[in-house]
Amino acid sequence: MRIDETHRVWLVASIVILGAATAVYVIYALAAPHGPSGGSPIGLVFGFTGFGFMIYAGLLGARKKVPIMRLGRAQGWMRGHLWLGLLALPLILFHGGFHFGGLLTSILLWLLIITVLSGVFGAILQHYLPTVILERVPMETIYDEIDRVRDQLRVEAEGFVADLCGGGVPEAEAMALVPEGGIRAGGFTAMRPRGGGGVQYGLTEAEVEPVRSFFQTEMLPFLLEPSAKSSRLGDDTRAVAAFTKLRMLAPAAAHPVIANLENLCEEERQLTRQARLHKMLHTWLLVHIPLSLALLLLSVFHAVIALRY
Amino acid sequence: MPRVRTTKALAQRIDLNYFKRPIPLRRWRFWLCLLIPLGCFLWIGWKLAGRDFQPYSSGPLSAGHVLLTRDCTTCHVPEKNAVFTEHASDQACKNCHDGPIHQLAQAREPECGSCHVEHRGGARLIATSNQSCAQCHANLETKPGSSTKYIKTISSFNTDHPEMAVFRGANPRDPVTIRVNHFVHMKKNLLGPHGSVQLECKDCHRQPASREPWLFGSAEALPVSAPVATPAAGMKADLYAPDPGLALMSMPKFAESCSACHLLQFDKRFSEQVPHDKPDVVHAFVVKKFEAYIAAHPAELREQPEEERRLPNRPAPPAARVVTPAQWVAERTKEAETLLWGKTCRQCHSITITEGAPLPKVADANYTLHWLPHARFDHDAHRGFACASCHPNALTSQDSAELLLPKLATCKDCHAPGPSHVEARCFECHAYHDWSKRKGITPTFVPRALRAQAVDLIPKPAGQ
Repeated sequence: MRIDETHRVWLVASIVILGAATAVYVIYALAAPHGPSGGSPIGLVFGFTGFGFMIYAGLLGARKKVPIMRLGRAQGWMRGHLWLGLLALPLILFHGGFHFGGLLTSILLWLLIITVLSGVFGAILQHYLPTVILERVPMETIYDEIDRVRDQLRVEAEGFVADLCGGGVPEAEAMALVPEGGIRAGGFTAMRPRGGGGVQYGLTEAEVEPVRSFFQTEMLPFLLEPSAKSSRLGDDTRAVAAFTKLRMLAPAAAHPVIANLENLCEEERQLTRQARLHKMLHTWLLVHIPLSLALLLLSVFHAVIALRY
Repeated sequence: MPRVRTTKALAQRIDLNYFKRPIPLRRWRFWLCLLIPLGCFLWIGWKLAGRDFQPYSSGPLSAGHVLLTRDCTTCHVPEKNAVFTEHASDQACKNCHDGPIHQLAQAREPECGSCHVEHRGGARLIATSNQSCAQCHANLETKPGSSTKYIKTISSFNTDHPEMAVFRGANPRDPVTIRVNHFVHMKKNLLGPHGSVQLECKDCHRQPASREPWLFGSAEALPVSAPVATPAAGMKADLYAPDPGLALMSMPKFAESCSACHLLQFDKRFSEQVPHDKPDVVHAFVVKKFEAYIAAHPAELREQPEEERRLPNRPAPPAARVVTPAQWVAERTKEAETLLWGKTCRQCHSITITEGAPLPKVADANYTLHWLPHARFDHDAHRGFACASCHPNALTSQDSAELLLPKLATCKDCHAPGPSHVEARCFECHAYHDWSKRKGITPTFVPRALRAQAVDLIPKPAGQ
């Protein structure tokens, strides 16, 4: 979610709440005989308010489970999650008087700090990375389908080379790209394998040999393992140099095929980039969500224990 | 033929059921969301099952209570009529600690925990905040029908603490009757027992527990039978009970500090000195000495007194005469005591000679041990400081009644809030509990480590 002018109300409200809480805390901390304490009336108010904000932030996950229910706009929930979740940290610090206390409270405070920091990190990523993906991955596809699209790119490349050099993509292999029982957009035509027809370019074996050799020794390994750092096709500049050299070795009639192969490599690189950016964009959730669940569970326990003793 | 990337061609690459397939990132998230909270839940359950409440403690215990770290129920006991809460009550504190009342007239008695805050780590519980004291002393109230002589608005040492009580009068004086000229005693090249000396403060002023040898105490000096001055009237007798003998300076004693220079000779016939004691003891000593002497030297009953030794304003004795031993002893005793009461003793003591009274009256030293009856000061904690840094007038004072005590401003030079100053909170000088009113307790707590062997041997209080 981009943090833009639509967040202004939340930002202002958060600043007002934080300012008021800070003012109350300073007065209370100066007046408290032994400094601020979580068990004092004001400390409890800070604690319950911060816990309430944490609960609200945690309810975002529940809200996502029931997207069709009329429980307010998803964007509103997300903004509340961002700003109230962020406010929970200073309020809980005020609650404990910036003391970490015992083992459980220390664990809680560290969980809160990690959860909030990971959330801030995620919010920053969510703010900037979509733009980066838009600019650097124009050939973006659905993340979950990247592996299958890659296989299709390889088959497509083999088809182009077969067209130029003769031979073709085995029909069985082309059909294997369609998942069992899968439905593919485009219906029947999408399931139709391509290649094998052979477009006649009028080139001799010797003339197409550089293209075939390049494909077999460099491009196919790259398409099979695009993240391998040893391949020069994984790097934009070195890939351009490689294809420029190939064009010099191959006759002009083969250049359209080479251009297609170069385009396929470019798409392959973009998919690699997309996968990397996607992981960046979502991996922080592996920290944020489980720890926030643990935080909520332990917070409930802490509240019960603290009120009892 | 150029490569075609139409929307339709791109859409055709996608499996419409792709979202039904499990993907690693989502699978990881699911398992972590399950396992981490489950782990927390199991941890809590495991600790609860083992009756180990220590992880839930709101913070480490103070140094004095660290043994109770795993014994939460020693202090956290169910309160009367409480269904849910188990707060540490005052009674739980008083099971082990005798916390006597502060003042009988105090309007209210705060809870133990309002001043002694636990679960704050290794800090001493006695280190209470200024606000703890100020909750009453900032606007001091007493029980209905009671009054107080104390100042009613004191918030902290560095804001509105009044000057020490001893300085508050119009002309504060030291009531001591011993005459000591500090200026003379601190002079260079003072005549000592073996030549010139330079006295130091510690040659006369030391804590009772000091073990350094006295440089100016004579080995031959007779013991002092006079009792050491008692604490000042009104002082809480037990306030300094834990005092190891290093906190306060003791009264300087003649035998330890003065006797090497100030000789108590009474007659040229004797090298011995009179004891530094009450007049009747001194008188008995002198008479006894003269009686023994004349018994051993009967020829002196006819001896002619020396002209140059005749005291002024006294009638000249007959040129030659014979006296009885008793008469001789009486005359020599009178001469010796005239010297003693009139000069030797009077040099330091206030002596009143009453006409017709056989012996003079020596005023009580009236030495003040505790200048601050409601506060405590520890000289030992300040032992690295030069005495004159706090008592500068001690080097120049010529009047023993001059108060050489430092004023509060001197204390405030070091005792103030802030990182470059030392502790300035109330507890540094004042004690809340009046330990003279302690009642005594019968402790029942058994340390956890000794509980197994001691549980059957320790008598249980009635009702348990």
